[in-house]
Amino acid sequence: MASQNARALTAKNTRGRLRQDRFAPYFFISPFFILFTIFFLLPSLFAIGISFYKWKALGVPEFFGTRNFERLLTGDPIFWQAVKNTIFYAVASLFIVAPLALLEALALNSKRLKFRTFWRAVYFAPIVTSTAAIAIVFRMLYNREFGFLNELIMALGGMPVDWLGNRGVVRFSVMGVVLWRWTGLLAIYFLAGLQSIPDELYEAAAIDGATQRQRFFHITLPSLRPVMLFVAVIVSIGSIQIFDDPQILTQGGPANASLSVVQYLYTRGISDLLYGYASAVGVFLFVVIFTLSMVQLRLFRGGER
Amino acid sequence: MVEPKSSKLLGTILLNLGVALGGIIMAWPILWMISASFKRLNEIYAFPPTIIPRNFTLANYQRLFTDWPFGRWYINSLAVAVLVTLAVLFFTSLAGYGFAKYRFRGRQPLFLIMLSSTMIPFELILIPLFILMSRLGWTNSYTSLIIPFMAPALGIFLMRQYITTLPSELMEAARIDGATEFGIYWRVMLPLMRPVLAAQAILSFLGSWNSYLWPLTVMRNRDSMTLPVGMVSMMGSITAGSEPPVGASMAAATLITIPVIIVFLFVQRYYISGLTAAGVKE
Amino acid sequence: MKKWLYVLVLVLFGSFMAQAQEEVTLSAWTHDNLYVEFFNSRLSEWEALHPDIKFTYDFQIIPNAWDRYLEALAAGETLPDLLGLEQGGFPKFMKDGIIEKYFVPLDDLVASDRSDYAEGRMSIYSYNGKLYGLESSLTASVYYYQPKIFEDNGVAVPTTWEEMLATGEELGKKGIALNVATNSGNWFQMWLDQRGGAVFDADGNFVFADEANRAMAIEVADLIQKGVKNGTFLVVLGDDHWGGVTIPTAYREGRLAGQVMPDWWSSCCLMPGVEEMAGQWKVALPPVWSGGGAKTLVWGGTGWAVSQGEHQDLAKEFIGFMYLGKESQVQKFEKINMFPWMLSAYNDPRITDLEDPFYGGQKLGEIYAQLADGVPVWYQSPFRSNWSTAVGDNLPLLFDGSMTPEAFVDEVTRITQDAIDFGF
Repeated sequence: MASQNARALTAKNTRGRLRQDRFAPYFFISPFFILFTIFFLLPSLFAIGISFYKWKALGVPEFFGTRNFERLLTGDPIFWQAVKNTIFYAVASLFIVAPLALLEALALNSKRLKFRTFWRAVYFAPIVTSTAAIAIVFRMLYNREFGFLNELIMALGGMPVDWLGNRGVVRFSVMGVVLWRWTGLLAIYFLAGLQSIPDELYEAAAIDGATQRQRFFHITLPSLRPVMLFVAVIVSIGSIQIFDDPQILTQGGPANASLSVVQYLYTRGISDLLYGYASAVGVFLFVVIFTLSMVQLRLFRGGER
Repeated sequence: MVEPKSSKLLGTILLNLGVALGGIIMAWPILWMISASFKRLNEIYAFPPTIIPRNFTLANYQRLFTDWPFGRWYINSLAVAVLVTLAVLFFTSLAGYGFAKYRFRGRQPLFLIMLSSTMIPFELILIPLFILMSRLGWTNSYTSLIIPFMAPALGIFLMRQYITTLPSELMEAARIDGATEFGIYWRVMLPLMRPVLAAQAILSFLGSWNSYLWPLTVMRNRDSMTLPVGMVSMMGSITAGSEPPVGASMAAATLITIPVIIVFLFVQRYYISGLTAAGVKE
Repeated sequence: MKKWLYVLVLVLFGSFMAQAQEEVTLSAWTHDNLYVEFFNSRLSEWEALHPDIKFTYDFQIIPNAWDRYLEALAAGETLPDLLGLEQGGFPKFMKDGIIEKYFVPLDDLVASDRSDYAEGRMSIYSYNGKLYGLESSLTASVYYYQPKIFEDNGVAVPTTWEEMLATGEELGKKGIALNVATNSGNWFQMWLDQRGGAVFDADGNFVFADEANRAMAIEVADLIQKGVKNGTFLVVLGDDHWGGVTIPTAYREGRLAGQVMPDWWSSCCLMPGVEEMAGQWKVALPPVWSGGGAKTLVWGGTGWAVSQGEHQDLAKEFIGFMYLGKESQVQKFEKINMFPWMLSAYNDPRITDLEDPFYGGQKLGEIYAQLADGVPVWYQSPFRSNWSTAVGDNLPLLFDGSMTPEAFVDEVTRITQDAIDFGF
C-alpha cells in the first residue's frame, strides 16, 4: 500500500523517476534469479536428465532409459537399507528429539527456573558447533573399549555396549549426536511459540480454576500447533538429508546399518563416480522432499484456519 | 495458585534439578573435548576422567600446525565464511528490499518461484554442480564455496519479511530529495535493517563455517580444505612414528567450535530472532 | 613508458624460458608419508644422475590418495606425476580402462630381471598384460605376538589356523584374544588367497562361486565365525582398526596377544601404537591351513603408478631408481622397514642379519626370507572393489552370527554378480 502511494507521489513529482522505478526492482532481484538459474535450476534439470543415462565420470554417457530407477527401486538392497535407516532417523527425530525439545523449551521458559539465561546458553550452544567436530568427539565418547560412555556404564555395574559396532545400536548412537545438536534449535522455535501465547489466556484460565495440567493441555499445546507443524516439517526434511553425522561417526557402517540415503548418493556419485545412478538417487530424494513440502503447505493452510 | 504450596515447591526443585542434569549432559562433550585437547593419549582414555589434565600439554595444538596445514585450513574457512556472508547480506537485502517495497509486474509469481526453489534439495544437484565446478575449473578454489551460495532464497525471504515492516515514508522523502533507487536502498533502508542483517550474518557465517558435504566434494587439495574437511581427514591419515591423532583432533575440534560458541553467547539474541523470523512468523 | 614495459615483459619471459629448460617439478600423491621419507632420503643420489636438471618436488600426503586422484581426474584438475596406488584402489582404475588411458606401462623397468621379482606383487598391478604399478613391499604376513602372554599361560604359538582356534578357545575364556578380525574385504581375501582360493582368475573372470573356491571361502568364513565366537579374534571395525586406540590399548592391557599382519603393519601401526612396549614383541611364521595353501598371507601393498604427461619419462625413471634393483630394495628395507619383493635381496646380510630391538633383537629378515618365494599370486578385476565392498558390508553379520558362512559367501556372490551384470 505504502509503496503504491510512493510511486504515485514520485510519478507526480518527476516524470523521469518513474522509469527508474520500473526497472529498479528487477535489477534488485536479478542476482538471485541469475545465480539460481545457473547454479540450481539448470543443474537440477541436468540431474534429472542424466538419471536416464548410464554415465561413469570418465566414460561416455549412454542412454539407459529407466534402468537406473528400476534397479534403484527393485534391485538395490543397499539403497533400501539406506532408505530404512533414513526413515528411522526421521521418525526418531520426530518422536524423540522434537518432544524433548518441547520439554526443554517449557523448562527454559519457566519462571521458576533459576539462572535461566545461563541454562539457555548451555542448551543452545550445541546448535552452533560444527557437526564434523562434534561427531569426532562423540566417536571418542562412544569407543567400545575405552570410551567415556562405556566406562561410565561399567562403573555403574552395567555391561558395555558396542555403540558404533553393533548393528542394532548404531542408529541410536547416531541419533545421540543428532539429539545433542538439534534439540536446542527446535527448542528455540518452541520457545518463540510459547512466548507468543498471551498471558491473559493463562490468567483467565486460572480465574476459572483450571489446574496446571489443564492449562497445559488446553492452552499451551493448542497454541503451539503451528510451531509443532513447522518443527515437524523441518525435522523430517532435515533428517532425510542427514549426512555429516553418520558419515563421520561410522561411514555408514557396520554393514550399512547406519548408512543414510545422502551418504549412499555421495558414495555412488563421488567415490564410485557413477553420475547417472547417483543422480537417480538424487531425483528420488527430490520427489520425497517435494512431496513433503507440498504436504507442509497444505498443513499450514489448514493450521491457519 | 491451585496446587498446594508444597507440591509447587517440589515441582520447582525437580525442574531445577532436571535442567541442571540435562545441562551437564549437554555441556559434557564440550568440556570433555576441551579437556582432552590438553592431554596425552593415555590420559584421554583414563577413567574416571580428569577435567583438569594431570599432565597438561600443548603438544596436541603444536602438532596441528606441524603435521597438518591447520593454519591454512583456518584461513580458508574464515575467508570463505566472511566473504560468503558479506555477499549474502548484500544480495539478500537488495532482493528482499525489491520484493518488499516495489510493486512490479510478475512480482507475485517471481516471489513464489523464489520460495519454491527451497524445495530443491541440495543433494539433487550435488553431482551436476560438481561437474559444473569441474568444467569451470573452480574446484579447490574459494569460488566454488562462495559464488553459488551468494543469494539464498530463505535469506531473501527473511529480509523481505523484515523490510515490509519498515515505514515507506523515508523512501518517499529520499526520492523527493533526488536519491536514486539504489541510493535509497543503500543509504536509507540498509541502516534500518541492522537487526535482520545481524541475524542473517550469523546464520550465513555458521552455515558456511560448519558445512561439510559440499566442501568435501570440491576441496580435495590438502591446502584448500576447510576446517571440517581437513579435520576429518586428519583422522584417516596414518602418520608413522607418532601417536594416533586423537588428542590432535580434539585440539582441532576445540579450535573450530569454541570461538564460535563464545561469539554466539554475545550475539544469541540476533541469532534467535533470525531463526524464528525465518520460520515461525509466517 | 610503453616501450619499457615491452622490454620488461620480454626479459621476464626470456628468463622464464631459460629456467624452463632445466627446471622440473616432480609431484607425487600418497597416503603414507613413509614413502616420501624414503624418496627424500635418496634425492641427492637421484639428482646426481641428472646434473643438467634442477629438480623441485611436490610430494603430498593425502588420505585415500587414489580415490582423490580419480575425483581430480573427473574434475579435470592438475594430477601428480606419481601416484601411490594402493592395491585395493587399483580395480577402480581398471574400470573403463582408466589405467591404460592415463598411466604409463612400466614393464621395461623390470624387463631384464622380471623372474627375480615376486609374481604375486606384479599380477595385482597389471591390466591387459601390462604392469602399471611398482610395489612398495612384499606385504607377506607374519604373526606379531607378545611372547610373555603365551609363556604365562603355558601355551605354544600356533602354527596352523586350526591350532590358533583351539588355543584361542582356551585363552578366550580368560579374556585374551589371539588375533583381530575386521570388516574389510581385503582382509578376508588375504585368508582366502592363502587357503588357495580365488575371487577372479587371470583373465578377470569372477570365479569366487566356482565349486572349489566356494568351498574354501566357506571354510575360511567358518573359521572366522568360530574364532570370533570363542574369543580367538577381537573384532575391531572400520577406521578404528588403523588409527584408533582400541588395538594398542588391548595390547597394553594384555587382552590381545598378537596379530597376523603384513610387513608394513609393523611400522605404520604396531610400533607407533605401543612404543613403550618395545622389546616385548616377537615375530613368528604365520599360521597355515592344515587343508593346504600358501605359507603366508598378503594384504595391502601400494604400487607406484606414473601418470601420462610432460614428465612421464622422468617420473618413470625416478620410481624405477627408487624401487628397483637389489640396492634400492635393501635401502627401502633399511630406511622404512618395507621388506623387498625382489627375491635375491634376501641373500643380503643387511636384511637377514638385522636385529630389531623392538622385537627383542630378533632377526626379522630370516623369517621373511622363508616367506618371500611363497607369496600367493592373485588377480585383479574392475569388479574386485564391488566384491570387496560386499564382503566388508557382510562381515559384521558373519561376526555376530546372524549369517551362516554359506549364506555369507552366497550373498557376496549375489551382490558381486549383480554389479557385474549391471555394469557398475
